Amino acid sequence: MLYGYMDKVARIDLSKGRVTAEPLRKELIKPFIGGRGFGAKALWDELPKKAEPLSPENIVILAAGPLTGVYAPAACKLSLVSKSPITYGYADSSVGGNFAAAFKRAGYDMVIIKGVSSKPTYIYIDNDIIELRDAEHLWGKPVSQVEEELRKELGREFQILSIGPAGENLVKFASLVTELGRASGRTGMGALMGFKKVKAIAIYGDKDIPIYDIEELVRISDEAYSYIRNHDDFEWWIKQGTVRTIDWCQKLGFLPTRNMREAYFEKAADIDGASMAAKKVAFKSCFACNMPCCNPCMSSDGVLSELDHENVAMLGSNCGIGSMDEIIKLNKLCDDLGLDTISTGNVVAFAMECYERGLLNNYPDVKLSFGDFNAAAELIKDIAYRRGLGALLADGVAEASKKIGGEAEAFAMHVKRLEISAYESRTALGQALAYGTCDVGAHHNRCWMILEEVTELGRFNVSLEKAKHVVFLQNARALFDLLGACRFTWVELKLPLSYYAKIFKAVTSIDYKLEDLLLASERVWSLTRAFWAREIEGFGRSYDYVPKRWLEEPLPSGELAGKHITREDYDKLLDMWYQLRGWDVKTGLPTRERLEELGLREVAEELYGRAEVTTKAKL
Amino acid sequence: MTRIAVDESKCVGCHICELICSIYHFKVNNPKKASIKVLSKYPSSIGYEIHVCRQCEEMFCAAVCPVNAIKRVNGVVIIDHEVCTSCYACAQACPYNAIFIHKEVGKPIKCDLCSGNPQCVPRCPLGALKIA
Repeated sequence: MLYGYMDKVARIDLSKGRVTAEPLRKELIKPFIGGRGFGAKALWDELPKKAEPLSPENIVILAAGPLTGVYAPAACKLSLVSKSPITYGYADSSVGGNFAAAFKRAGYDMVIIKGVSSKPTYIYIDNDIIELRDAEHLWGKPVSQVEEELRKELGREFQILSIGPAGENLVKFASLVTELGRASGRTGMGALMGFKKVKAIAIYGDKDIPIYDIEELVRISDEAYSYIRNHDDFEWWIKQGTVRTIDWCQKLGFLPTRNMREAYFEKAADIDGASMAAKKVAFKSCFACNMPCCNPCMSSDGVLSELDHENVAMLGSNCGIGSMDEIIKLNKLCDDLGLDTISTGNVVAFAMECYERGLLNNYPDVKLSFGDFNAAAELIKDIAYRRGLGALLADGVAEASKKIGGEAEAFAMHVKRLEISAYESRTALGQALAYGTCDVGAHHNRCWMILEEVTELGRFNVSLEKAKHVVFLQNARALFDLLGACRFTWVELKLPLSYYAKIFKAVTSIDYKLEDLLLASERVWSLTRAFWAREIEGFGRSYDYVPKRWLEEPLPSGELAGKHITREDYDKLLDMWYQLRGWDVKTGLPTRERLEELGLREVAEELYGRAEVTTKAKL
Repeated sequence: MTRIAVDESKCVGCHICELICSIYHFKVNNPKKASIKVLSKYPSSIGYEIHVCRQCEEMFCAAVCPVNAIKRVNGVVIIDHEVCTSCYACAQACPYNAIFIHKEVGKPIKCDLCSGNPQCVPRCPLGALKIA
């Protein structure tokens, strides 16, 4: 008997209109755990090498973890894994809410989608039944309407994950959204679905999730839930959620402001956690989570959207916008159009800086100053529909800056072509490294070092401890994606990680210590790194740098005015980081030895050829 | 009379009540087998309906039961599964949509207050569920 897994992988071939299913390959469980781990392995195994992201060959993998949908704190996550249309590298993005639990209850560990549908379709899943249904009537519609119509059509207990016009128009940072606020935002999963002509996935599941020791699970999870509920920070957290970080970033000089030119925003007090809380109209949580942080907020004129640190900072301060009402509206616009709010805020701010520097002379109608809400809203629509300047920006900041040319590339804020998220990190070397080495391109969710840097490790210094901590956080955070849970229990309310090893054992019967689980994370990090190298000619160390703005431009204002991290220090820390991962310092790639140690022999052979060949060559 | 009283304005939509309910009654992890149901108020993205038996004074469910399987026992409305013929007339008759159906369970599913110790109540994060 298999516990914690549904023992089923479904395959949907959109080109052939065919659905098949097979049992889960059990040998994946111990090394890769589930979720992002299963997805990364399936992508490595099944994607034709160097496939174009926007091509019928590319696959999108939906993968649940062993904890997804079970009685455990915030066991609510599903990973979407693919080759990104924006980075051309390994990509994943998780989604919370109730979709993942429904997916698991419907009986799936993974659903692998390939091919392209000849006409708009939505994937209908009711337990074992999977159908490709006509979506002509939904095509072109915003996310909120799609969700409403499908629920009306199918019933209220269906969970809907859909794309908006941005995904249809192949905007490379298009998202998928569920429950009008939870998103699989990053790396362009929405564009991949749009290319495949999949408007939505509607899912209902009512199966038992098999649990090895359900009494033990209740005992441990009850303890964990109580730990969270009784934490001193609980009340503050449910009031402000991640938006409480705005004020903190402002004080310490991390608040991305005007395309990350600055790290302090003069209107921060108008968009901080308290300002958000004043607009908040309800508490809303994801499945199995007792620390609600969705933050549904309503503007004075009745627009409702859900705020977190990222969308407030990226659509707010980073665009010079200092009004909570305006942020609520821009955020609603992005969710409805199906745009990642992080990349959108980054790209719009980039365009604003271009405008201020007079680099948009090819677009004489465009007026786009920092802080201009109406211009930002219009530009966001233009991006989603690929109109005018929007068409240029729809390919992401890296591509857009190349086309604009000149100095623009120097202030295009991305790593590996993925737009940097909401922490201005030129005065935090460890966080800069976290962004630089992130496995999907710049994304804070893979490692957030700032707290440790301002408290214990120091912001500017190079130390082995700092590099070690980046590796530890990267692995620990990955663990949540492998298990199918949200990291906030641990990150925000300090639930000890050890709980997750205990929960994993109660659910699956597998007696893994925390170190064993973290080793699985390490394995996934090396595997996805190898994927980048396999897919991109010349991939390596040079891809691991943060923009020049952080390494060379001093902060113009505030307490830390004049400061920035240096390339020399960054290089030193990067060297340490490679060594800690067992990767080659020069190439930045996992060594053959390291890959073999991690049980990834076939990956080593792909990168370095068969071992005996090299031995002979040496002789 | 004991029952679970709900304050929907305090519901966060976590479904923890449903999870623990299915675990307590059926020893399975399956919120769709719970005798409490939380539904979001679509098309609005906020607000929840909580459906759970109110142990009504006037038992609409018992009134329609063709085999008299539903009785009040120590103040709690109980379906005697030995007697029940699974016609689900009770589920149809409940004015609060608080009697549920799951094909594997085969009998109407209804809150029995966990033999006097409702499992969902203490686990509700913000106190949307209370014993009244």
